[in-house]
This record gives sequence, structure tokens and C-alpha cells, in this order.
Amino acid sequence: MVYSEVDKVEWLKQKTPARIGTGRAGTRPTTAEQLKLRCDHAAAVDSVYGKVSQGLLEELGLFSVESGALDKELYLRRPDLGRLLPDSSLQALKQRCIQQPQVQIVVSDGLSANAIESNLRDIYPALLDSLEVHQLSAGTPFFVHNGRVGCMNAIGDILHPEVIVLLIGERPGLITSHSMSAYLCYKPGYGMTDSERIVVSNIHQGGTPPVEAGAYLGGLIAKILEQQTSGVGLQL
Amino acid sequence: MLPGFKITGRKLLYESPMYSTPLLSDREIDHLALHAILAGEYERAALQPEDVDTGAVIITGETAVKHNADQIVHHLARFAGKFVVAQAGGDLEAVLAGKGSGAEARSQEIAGQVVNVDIGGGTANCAFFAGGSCTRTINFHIGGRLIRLGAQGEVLKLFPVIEEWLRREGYGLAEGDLAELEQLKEITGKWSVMLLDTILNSRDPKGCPLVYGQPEEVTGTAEPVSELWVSGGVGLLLEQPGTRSLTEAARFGDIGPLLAESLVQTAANYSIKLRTTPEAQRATVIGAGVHTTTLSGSTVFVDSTLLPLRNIPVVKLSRPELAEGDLPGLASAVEKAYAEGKRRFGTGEPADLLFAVALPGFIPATYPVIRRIASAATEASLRNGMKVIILICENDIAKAVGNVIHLLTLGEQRCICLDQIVVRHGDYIDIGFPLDGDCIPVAVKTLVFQP
Repeated sequence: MVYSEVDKVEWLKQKTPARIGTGRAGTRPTTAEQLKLRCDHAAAVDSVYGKVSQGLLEELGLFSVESGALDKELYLRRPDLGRLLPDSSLQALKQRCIQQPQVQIVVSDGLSANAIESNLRDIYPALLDSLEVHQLSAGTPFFVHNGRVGCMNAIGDILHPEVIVLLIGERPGLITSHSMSAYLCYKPGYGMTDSERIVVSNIHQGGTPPVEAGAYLGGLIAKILEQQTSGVGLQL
Repeated sequence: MLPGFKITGRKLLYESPMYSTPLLSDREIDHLALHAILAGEYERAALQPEDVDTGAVIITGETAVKHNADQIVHHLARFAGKFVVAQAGGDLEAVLAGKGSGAEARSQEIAGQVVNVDIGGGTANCAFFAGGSCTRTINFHIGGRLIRLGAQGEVLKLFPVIEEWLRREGYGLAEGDLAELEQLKEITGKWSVMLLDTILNSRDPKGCPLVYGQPEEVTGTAEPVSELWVSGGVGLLLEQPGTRSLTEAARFGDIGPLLAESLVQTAANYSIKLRTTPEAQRATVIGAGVHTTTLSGSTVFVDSTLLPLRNIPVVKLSRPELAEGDLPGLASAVEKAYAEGKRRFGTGEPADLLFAVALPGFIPATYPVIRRIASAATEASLRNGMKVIILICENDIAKAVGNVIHLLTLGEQRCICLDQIVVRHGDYIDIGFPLDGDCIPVAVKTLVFQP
């Protein structure tokens, strides 16, 4: 049985979600491929500009605060503002949250509201279960609208948790717009950098399943507390 | 991404010579002689059985059909080391040979199916591979030693199954006769046609008189076979020149050389090239050495005070009519699996009842689903008085399920949940100590002793 080159390309295409062997029409992509690309791109853009529904936040008992970037255009142009919390938000946290909790859970849309919409219902209860298994206590959870990873520092300065967990939507790609990450930091505060944080990334139904990621976080937090670091020196 | 582990290499410590299976009679293996061979080899390898952490005793081919095979394989497994598994059966042998010969790996490189046929003394075990995994197996009573020859070409011994086939085909060949070269070539030619017709033309294996076991139905339109690999003793003979005389054919005391020759000639008519590997004869052993132990996913839930566990039977959840979000359907499927486990293995004290329930890969990994699985497993096992819950999941969900079970039982029942392991209904598993944290080695055993 001899296989043609076309069969081989078909076979390779089944091995990857990447755009390979898409063909062309003259010097440009085929119309179908061009439309698919625009469709996927539109999904990514929708995800960035989308909003996490109020219903979801209420269902999981999360109240909302704003970051320093009040609208999406500003959020995209000024990453620094997404790392800050305005006074109104700081006040809200002071009033509504348990101070100095062992574990502070924070959720943010980041660059993908879709990711939160798709995964939060699965990862959040699994995370609570894993905290309970490891006999860890959580503070008052909340949602940061237009947050960046660095907002962990601003929250740390106000609430002083031992460990903070930020569940945040990742920059969408053309393959999936539903990927989120969990960033963890031991005693977060002003000036802390990425090398002092640990991340569990690629959380979505096609990557690490959100339930399993949530289940894994409790043990990871226990290790952070035990070793008193979440930086590059953390022994997993 | 989560941390993960995989087996990255192997190192050969010692290689023994090859022995013929010592037999007391046609139906019985010489237990003491076999034990002596093994003990001698351990000594030459400077190994104590206690040094062996994991491994497999695999009984294959005609030997697996001997009436004391079951008992012996378990005895040897106990002797050979602390975590050694016992396995048997043509289907398993076929798969291991295909892994050891390299056919499985080859199927990841090329389009179409790669079939490995392991032809030994008494059986030919075929495994079909596509994209790196085995899709089906077929086993034949075709092998080099089914007709044993003396130095002059006299028939010393005919295997009963072949004796019967010869009679039906109208051959008058009997033990003590002087064989004719042309007749033997005709016989091995017929076997070759049968073998290749079934493999390459998807002829229904059930209609083939020399097929044994329960070959699976071919479902859907299978990809065509691109390459045919031959391992086992006969594979080693493929590249030898043709035989011109009966004494030359009988040089190994059997019809192995003639069978190899017929295969090569017959394959030419099917326009498929036969391939073999330098290590053809040891393909099953190599396959077993590399592939009997699998590693679980790195996020699992394990009460390590329960470890190690040996010979845990597996009950697999049958596919429930799982419409989107049909949680009650899922729960009743879990309950049914526990009821079946209780029925099959619940002969002793309820507290000693131990079996694993396996969850197939189609189960969606959402929180309501894992919660439902956990509560159904907890209730069902509690109702059966079981102290230990063991779940084996294909999907990466074990830690989430285990956490829920732990919380539901308040530690009253102990629990092991492993994932990213594929087991079949009726398999047995051994569960070892965790490697570097969470990841657990598991040996999956498929015990299929042909009656």
C-alpha cells in the first residue's frame, strides 16, 4: 500500500491543532482558511473585551472590585494600572474581607473573560475541597475587574494573607481563548516579582482539566506554607 | 502545566541464554527444573530476589496452555522479587512482542497500520498498531514446532491441534512417517496464506480453523496495513536462503525454516514486504521489560499506608447512557460496578473486599460530575462494608475525585484514586510506592489462561 503525500499531510494534521497544510489559492490563503482565521481571531478579541457575568460571580459568592484600569482600552494600553487598586477598591477590601487569612483566593478576568466563564465553576469548588483536605482556611474571596498578575502585591499590602491564589484569564490565542492560570505567592506585597511567584498554567478542558488543577493547588499551598517560599527555590 | 513523569530509558544489567521450556509430559511443565533454571540465572546475574523491585513473569505460547501453568507462573512471580507480576495469554504476548520488536513505535511514524506477528514454536500472535497504540490482536495455532522432525526428516511429533487439521485437510501424515519436503512446503504454504489472508485482507478470523481465543470484531473501516513485522524464532529465519533438501529443512528439528520460507514467498503475492529486527527472538521479553509498568498521572490521591497493593481485580464502569449532564445515569453506573464487584469477589469478609473500579475516558471532567462519581462510589462501597475505595480514571481527574471522597468519608474509609491509566474489565493491577512525590507505578496484568 503506497501512501500519497496528501494522505501524509492529512495524517499529520490530525496530530496538532496548529494550522498546517492549509493550502492556498494563488498567493493568498484559501477563503475557508481565511474565514476560520478571522473567526478564531474574533473569538480571541471577544474574550479580551468580554465581561464575566454577574450571575457567575453571585453563584460563587464573589463580590467585585475595580483595578486601576477602569476601562478595557486603558487596561490594554497601561499594564501598570491593572496592577494597582484604587482607594475605593482598597476600602472595600478592608471593610468586607477577613484580615490576615491563611489563604486569600482572588479571581480576575485578566485578558480572557471566556476563561473565567468556562473554568471557574469547576476549578473553584475543587480548590475549596483541596484546601479542606489539607486543613487550610481561606479568607473572603473576591473578583478583580481588569486585573493583572501584579495586583497580588497591592492586595497583599492590604489583607496580608500568608498565601494568595490568583485565578486569572490568560492572553487568548488562535487555538483556545479559554485558558487560565493560577498564580500563587507567599506573603505578597509591594515590589515582589515573578521569580517570587509560582504558576500553574494552561488550565482548560483541553489542557490541565480545571477540576484537577483546583485539586492540585491545596497541596501546592501546603508546600508553600511549609517551605515559606513560593519563589524559584520552592521544592515541588 | 502540572509536573509529570515518564520512563525515559532502560539499561540492560544481565542477559541470560535462552532455554527450552522443561516439560514433564505434553500437558505438564517441569516445575522443579524451571525453578532451578531461574535460581541459577539469578545467581549468575548476582541478584537476590529482594533486589528486584518490579518485573513480570510472563508465560506464553503453547506453554500457557499446560495445565499447571497458572500455578507455576504465580509461584515464580513470588520467588522472583517483591513486585513481580504474573501474566499470560496470547493477546498480551502479541502486544508485548509488537512493543519489543519496535512495530508499535514504527506505527507512530508512518500512516496506516503496522502489524507485528510473533511466530514461535506453537503460536503466531498478531498485534495491529496504529498511531502508537494496539487496535486488535489475533492468535493462530501456527508455529515452527507444531511438527517436529528427526535428523532424516522423519515426523517425531505432531501437535494434537495440527494432527486434527491435517486429517481434515486430507493429509495422511502421522508420527513415525518419513515426511516429504514438497508436502511440508505445501502445509506451511497453506498456513502462510491463512495468516496473511486474515491479516491483510481482513478475512473474518472466526472462520479460520487455526485461530484460537476470542479475536475482536473489526469495527468500522480499518486503515490498510502498511508494514508487516515478523518477530519470534521464525522471524529470525526470514532472511535465510531457501531449503533444497529435507535434512536441511529439518536442521532445527522442526518445520520453522520451511515456515519462514513459505511466509516470504507468500508475502510476495500480497505485495507486502516482511520486516524483522535483529532482536526478533527476544521481542516479547524486551516488550515486557519496558512496558509492564506504567506511571499514573502526577496528580493523584493516595493513602500511602495502603501500599503496596497486589492483584487487585478491576471492574470497569460500563458506558452509561450518559446524555449531556445525566448525573443520575452516571451514579447508577457506578453503583452497578460496585454491585458486580461484590458479586464476583465478595466471598470473604466484607471488610476484606477489595477491588478497583475503573472509569472510562469519556467521562467529562466537570465538578458536578466528579462530585457525583465520588458520592456514588462512597455510598456504594459503604453499603458493601468496604473499607477501601480504589478508583482508576483514564482522564486527569483523580485528585479532584479523591479529595471529595476523603471529605465525604471523613477519613473513615481509605482511598486511592489514580488517573491516566487505561485498564480493561477483568484486568488485575499491582500498585507500587510513589515515585518522587505523587506519581504511582502501576502494573496492569491481563490474565488470560486459555482453557
